[in-house]
Amino acid sequence: MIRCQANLSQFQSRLVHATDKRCYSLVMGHSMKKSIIATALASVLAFSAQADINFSGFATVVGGKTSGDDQVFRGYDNEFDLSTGSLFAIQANSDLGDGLSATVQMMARGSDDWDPEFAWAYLSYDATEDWRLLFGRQRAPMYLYSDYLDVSYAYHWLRPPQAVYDAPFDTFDGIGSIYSTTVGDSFVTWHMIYGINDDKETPINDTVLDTKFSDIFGGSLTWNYDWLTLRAAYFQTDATFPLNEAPDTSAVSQIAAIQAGWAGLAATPFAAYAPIADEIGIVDDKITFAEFGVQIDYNDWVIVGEITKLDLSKTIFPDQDSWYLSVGKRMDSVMLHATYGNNKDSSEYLVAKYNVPSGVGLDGLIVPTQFVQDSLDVDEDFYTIGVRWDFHPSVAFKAEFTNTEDDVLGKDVKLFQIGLVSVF
Amino acid sequence: MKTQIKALAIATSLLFSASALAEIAIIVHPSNGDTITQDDISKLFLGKDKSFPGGAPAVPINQGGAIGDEFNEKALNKSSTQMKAYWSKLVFTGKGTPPKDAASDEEAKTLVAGNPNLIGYIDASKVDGSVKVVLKL
Repeated sequence: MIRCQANLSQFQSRLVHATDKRCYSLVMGHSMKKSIIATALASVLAFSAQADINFSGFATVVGGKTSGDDQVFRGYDNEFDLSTGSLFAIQANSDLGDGLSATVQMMARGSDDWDPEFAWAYLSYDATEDWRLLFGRQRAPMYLYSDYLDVSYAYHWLRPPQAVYDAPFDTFDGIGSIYSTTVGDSFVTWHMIYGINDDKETPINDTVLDTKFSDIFGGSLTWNYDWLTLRAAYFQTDATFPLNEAPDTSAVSQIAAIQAGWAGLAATPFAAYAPIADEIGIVDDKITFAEFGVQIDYNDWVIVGEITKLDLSKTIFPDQDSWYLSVGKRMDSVMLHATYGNNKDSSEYLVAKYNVPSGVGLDGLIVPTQFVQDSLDVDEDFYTIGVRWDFHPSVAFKAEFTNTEDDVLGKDVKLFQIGLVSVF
Repeated sequence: MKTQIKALAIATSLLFSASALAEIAIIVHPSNGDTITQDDISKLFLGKDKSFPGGAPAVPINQGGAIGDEFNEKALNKSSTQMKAYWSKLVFTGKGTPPKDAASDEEAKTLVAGNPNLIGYIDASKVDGSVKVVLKL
């Protein structure tokens, strides 16, 4: 079950779940250049001469282990590990007057060797009482919990279901527009974004690709009435993954080799199959994402569900359809919760799509192409049971057990985690 | 039969002890003529509305400690932990800032008495002519 650190001799295991968030989550966001950090810090310090700075922060310290001898899952193995899911963040915010404010959020993750990075860094401007504009580094509000994904204190799990929270893009540099207003008894928020992320480090198995996402565009509409919240979101981006920049021995380089093979047919009688090369390669290919979510917070009960669709059909990666439903019950300072969901990644097989005949000398391309696509497909059911205990005004204890049944490997993976989460 | 009587007696005493807790007065500047409902108060203190029903800008003033907990329970129907989680969703995503805390009933009263845009709450027994009570909880 090695997803992110692959064994070179096992081609299949290296490719399985290549787009899986388990890999992405290890390096979400990325470090900006040192000079930019220095400039931003200098700016914050300059503000301090004129305005008050509010500092706040949040932290998660979580330890976990899998149950099996050889199970590696979401960065955990069967040795108890305290760094993989842990993070600390400090936010500095300064009100500059006239509706302007500046915010910087620095985050350090155990999985990044505690190398701090800018998760958010933006200027905000309140154009009206209901309309706020954000300029700078932000996160696209793709999922219900995207905005505060790292603020575990704000929700019941240690982290929202990672099989679902799986899109390859989230953080961007650009413009955000948040319009929120009361309509009768309900509260409506319309959040639109536009931006780019041109140097995101995307780990695919044993390779980290310097991927580019341009024209990241979309928005979410949230409707809240007292105990009921409904939400819909749509985002799209043009993605470029430089597959041919991967090291020669990597799984990704073998995809690049297959792609080159199909491209080489252009000047042969098999030219009709050459476009398969474009379908494998990821150069300015459009990715779309749609989500619908429901959240009910009624008396002591919390019910949350989301359904998502990620369309990667213009890339070698399969489309992803996923959903979960979670129910929690509060009893004073303790909350018990249970979640069930599924993530399905399914490829449109290129060999079938182009009716490539076998036995005519193309088998050397057909077999590996089909093999790669088969190995990228996933169908996993998961459930999580957990507890949150608010034993302190700003610290909560959480414990969780997650079982993931993976039909590709034909076995269950069991992950146990305990942690402390805080806001300060 | 006897157990039932005992249970009833306990329930009654609980009812009395609940009502024996201090009443909270929601206060505004004496010049504020708006009618303010509990729903308005909830929207203002949750950051969902930023003006009084009459249209003037409204700035809520919170309090920490026991009276803050009680206000959260009575006016917002949330525990203080839930409120902390609620605000952390907004604070770390650029969507909002929680109300500032006053250090005491006296400070809350002085602030509200000095600014027509403020709305706060204090122990009802501490109310005087410097502020106007719009609702008691």
